[in-house]
Amino acid sequence: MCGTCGCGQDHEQIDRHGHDHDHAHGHAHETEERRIAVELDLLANNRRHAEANRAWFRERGILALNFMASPGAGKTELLAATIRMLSGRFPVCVIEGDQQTGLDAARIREAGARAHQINTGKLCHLDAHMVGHAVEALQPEPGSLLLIENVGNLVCPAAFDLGEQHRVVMLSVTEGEDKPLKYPDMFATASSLVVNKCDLLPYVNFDVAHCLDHVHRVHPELMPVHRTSATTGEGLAEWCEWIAAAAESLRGPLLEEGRA
Amino acid sequence: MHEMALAREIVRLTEQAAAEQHVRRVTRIHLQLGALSCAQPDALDFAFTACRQGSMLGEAELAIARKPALGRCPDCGDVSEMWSRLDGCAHCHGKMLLAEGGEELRIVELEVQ
Repeated sequence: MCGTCGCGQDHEQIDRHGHDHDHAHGHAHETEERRIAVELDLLANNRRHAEANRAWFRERGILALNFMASPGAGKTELLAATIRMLSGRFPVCVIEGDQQTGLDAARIREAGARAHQINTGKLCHLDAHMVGHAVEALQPEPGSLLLIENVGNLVCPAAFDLGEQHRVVMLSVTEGEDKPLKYPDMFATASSLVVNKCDLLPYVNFDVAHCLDHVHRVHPELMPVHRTSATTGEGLAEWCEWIAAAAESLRGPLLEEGRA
Repeated sequence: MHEMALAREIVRLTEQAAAEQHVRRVTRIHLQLGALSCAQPDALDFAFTACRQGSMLGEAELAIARKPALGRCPDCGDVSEMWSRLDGCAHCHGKMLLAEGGEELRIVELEVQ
């Protein structure tokens, strides 16, 4: 039985993906005390679940995005605005992660997308196993967008691959331009950046260029940067076009095969 | 605290390895933690002390060895050890280094009976 959620998963059998064991290689000795050399990666199990998710998404041309940010950066608002702009072009499903309540999932449904709420209880991040179960419940259609709103937290979610195509890290202009230096692991693992609440720039001490310099220091490779205001709509057209282009490139091969 | 999730995984992987090797007792678990990995050594130790209760690991201890990344300076090309993502170049005092490795989170040895 799975120790995480009590599901019937037994001993690392993962449906959609072959699994391999991390084997220990022992030395046989006569003495009682011995040392066993092993190579056991603490994140290997999560990675296997993530790769199973990734393969499942790829087979169906589903674009999965993992949204990570501090609580209050505007993740849910951005997702709701994105859904309103794109749900005419693509089916959209959302996986919501919060410690408690279904409040965010309700907001997403109001915006016009199907949503599955994961309540993590005392856990501070989503992992690939949880996302796999959510996907089973949600059954996103081929060629759809799957938006995963991670638990609001700039520390813990960074370590856990969910099987996403892109890790979208958000910060709002009310959080301070030095955020990327204070939470380097999160920004180092991003594949796209959203700077949100740009309508508030005239009222706060936030220099976007300085912030991007700090991002560059912990994330030297170039990545797409989107400046948005989820409430006024600033930057949303460009943001949605970026998503649409990514989704179309996944969907293209499926359309050719007649599967989407 | 995500170290709890990692500590539970240490317990699970160690119990699995111990069963495969017909081990009665695990006394020490040697971990390699990359300096750029997500785990804080003392938080992981604390979480492990909680997680090992009720498992076959009894009073097994963690021995944590931190490993640096290799950091290459994009300005002068110097390569040095990198212990933080904010480390700069000791050679030319450039503000950033390009990191390689340093994200290991693995059990490398078990001391058993």
